[in-house]
Amino acid sequence: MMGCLPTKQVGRSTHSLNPREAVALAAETSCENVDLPDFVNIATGTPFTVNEVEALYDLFRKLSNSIIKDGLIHKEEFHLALFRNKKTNLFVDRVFDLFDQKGNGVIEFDEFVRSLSVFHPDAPEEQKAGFAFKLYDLRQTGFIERHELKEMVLALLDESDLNITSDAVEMIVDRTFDQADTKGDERIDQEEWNEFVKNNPYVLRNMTLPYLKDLTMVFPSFVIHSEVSEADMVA
Amino acid sequence: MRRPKSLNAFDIIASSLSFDLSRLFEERGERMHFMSGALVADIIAKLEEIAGMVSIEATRNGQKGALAISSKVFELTRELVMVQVCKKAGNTAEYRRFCDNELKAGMRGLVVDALPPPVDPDECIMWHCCCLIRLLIPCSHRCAH
Repeated sequence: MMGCLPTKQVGRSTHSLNPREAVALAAETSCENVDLPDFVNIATGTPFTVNEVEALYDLFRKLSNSIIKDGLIHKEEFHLALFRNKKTNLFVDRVFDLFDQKGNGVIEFDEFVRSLSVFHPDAPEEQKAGFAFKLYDLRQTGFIERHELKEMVLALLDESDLNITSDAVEMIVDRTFDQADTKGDERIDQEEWNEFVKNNPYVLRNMTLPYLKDLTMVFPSFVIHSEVSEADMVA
Repeated sequence: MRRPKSLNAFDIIASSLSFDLSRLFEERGERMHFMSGALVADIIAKLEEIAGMVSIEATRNGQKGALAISSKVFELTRELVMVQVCKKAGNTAEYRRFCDNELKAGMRGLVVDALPPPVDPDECIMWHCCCLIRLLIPCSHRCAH
């Protein structure tokens, strides 16, 4: 229940309001000052259109007010969105930290959009490879160490329903690591990673969310009622 | 069948549910795994047979429509494969009903529940992704692919 935005009660029907209408209504009915983000500015430099950024704002509002109603995504809210039971997870923490570009402990809307843009199908491979490297560099040493790789695989197997022996895990980790660590210095640096990714592009498949390209379809009522069209944008 | 690919540690990590940011957009990660000792060809045939039995209603408010499911079969050893099934598009409740009522029932004879026997280390080296099949539940509009 969101006290500051009564339009949430309307729900996702053909009568739901777009963000501008929602914010205007909220401003009228509450004393809280709700500022609309600059959608055009935030869209600039990303593969998203302005309409898509508005659609993301819809999602952002929902996520950022799920526990602490302040319009910012806190770590608990991020966990909740990804895991209903709020279980702490190795990877979710890393992803959160990477989304939190300013490092102030919360994800703001512009950080949200810019981080998600890396997952857009049209984002450059180098961007995705760079993000993935930072993700897997668990302790931010600038390298992926062998034990970090093993730690990640074990953490994953822990949460999954796969039955794989620890010998098999050891073997897979060693084989992968030896393949990537071409310099043989027991750690994978950015350069070795980029090379590895070129040879194993399948590794980056979790860095693409295909329907980021069809955001306005994910939120269909938004397309019908949005007042902002590309034609309205000043060139 | 496509040329096999071997799985590396980062592939396994990449398939982790918590890396699946699509959960931000959906209520739950819609993916399941199960192990089987059956022949890959038999599994595929079974999946196609199950998929063929489902029919979809016409679209209303864009809520229901094409249900697209992706299935991947990974070869772990000569005797054991891992089948991954996930929803690609469509109504989530519809997908869950499909999994609970059609898929699990249909696959029951092929699924291995117990821990597989100790694996020969040499066999473990070659993990192959045998094929990626996209199962489309028939409806009025087919997706591309």
